[in-house]
Amino acid sequence: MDRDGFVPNPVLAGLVGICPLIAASRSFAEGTAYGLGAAACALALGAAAPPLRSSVSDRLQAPATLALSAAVALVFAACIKAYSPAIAAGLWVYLPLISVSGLSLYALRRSYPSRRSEDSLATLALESLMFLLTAASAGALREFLGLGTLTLPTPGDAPLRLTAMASPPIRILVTPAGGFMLFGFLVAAYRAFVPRREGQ
Amino acid sequence: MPRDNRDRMIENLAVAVALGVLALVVAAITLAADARSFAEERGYLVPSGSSWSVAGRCDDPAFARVFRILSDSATCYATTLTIRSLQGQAFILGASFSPKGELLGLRFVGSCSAGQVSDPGDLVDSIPGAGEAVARASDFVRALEAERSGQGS
Repeated sequence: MDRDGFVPNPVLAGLVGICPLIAASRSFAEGTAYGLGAAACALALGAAAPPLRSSVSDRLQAPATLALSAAVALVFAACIKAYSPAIAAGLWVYLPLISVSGLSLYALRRSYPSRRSEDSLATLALESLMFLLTAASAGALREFLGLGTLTLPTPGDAPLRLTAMASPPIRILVTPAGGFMLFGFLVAAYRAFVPRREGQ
Repeated sequence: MPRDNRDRMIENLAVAVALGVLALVVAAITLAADARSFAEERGYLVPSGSSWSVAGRCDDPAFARVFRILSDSATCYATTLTIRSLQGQAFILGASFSPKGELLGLRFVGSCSAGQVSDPGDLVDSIPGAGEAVARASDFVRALEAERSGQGS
């Protein structure tokens, strides 16, 4: 069975890149920042892939790809720290781990056959956007249900925060355990609603 | 040397040089961002008209550098504390210490995600992890002052 989307197999996705995503996306602002960073990494790798394939031999493409992903993640981390020290403080050690999510986002789509005949940057951009929306919405859900607030990704030391509930119903959602629970439900929903390929 | 090995070595060197250039670019951007955060920190820790210097740097996850501030013939140390908890809270606090390491003041600078402070008047008790971070910073200030006194004597 093969499905479209950036998570072709939830078990495989659990092995690469999802742990820092769960740990980092504790609020809407942090999830948006993390998703944006992973998308930027994946797009940078997608843009650099054709010149890398033509100029670097196969044995050196993996380390070059890893170095490029790490460089983009570090530059993104510096930009986030300049944009909002508070969001950077929230993401903490998971800022460099954006390179892991970017690599997995770029590599996973190349590990399974796509319905499109060409390997286009536009397809990667669409899937990166899906990842960003997933990270942002997961962060928003966790913060809204777990803490009753919604932190917007505004610049400065104190991002704008909207308070919706004085007593949030599911406080466990902001912990890592709650994050894994939420992602389990999201994966189940994805498998339930994304149509299977014909004949499978 | 066989031609294949020579070609491989040249290719290895070329890729190493390219990655070295990439590393330099990343280091330059990181230094620029660090300079900006340094200026912002100095902006809300050092009162205007005071003389200041960086007393020390640390690898502690809560604080990276401590400023030594001299104003009105009084000396104090100041730093920003970044506190992140497993409950989805992230805070940035400004702390000032006496040369003996006593906490003189703690100021709320910013927060992210669920950084809600129930009692702004007592940040140490309101924020989980603030007490431990303040204690580590206090120990670091005492060590800095002891080192400085030892150098002066």
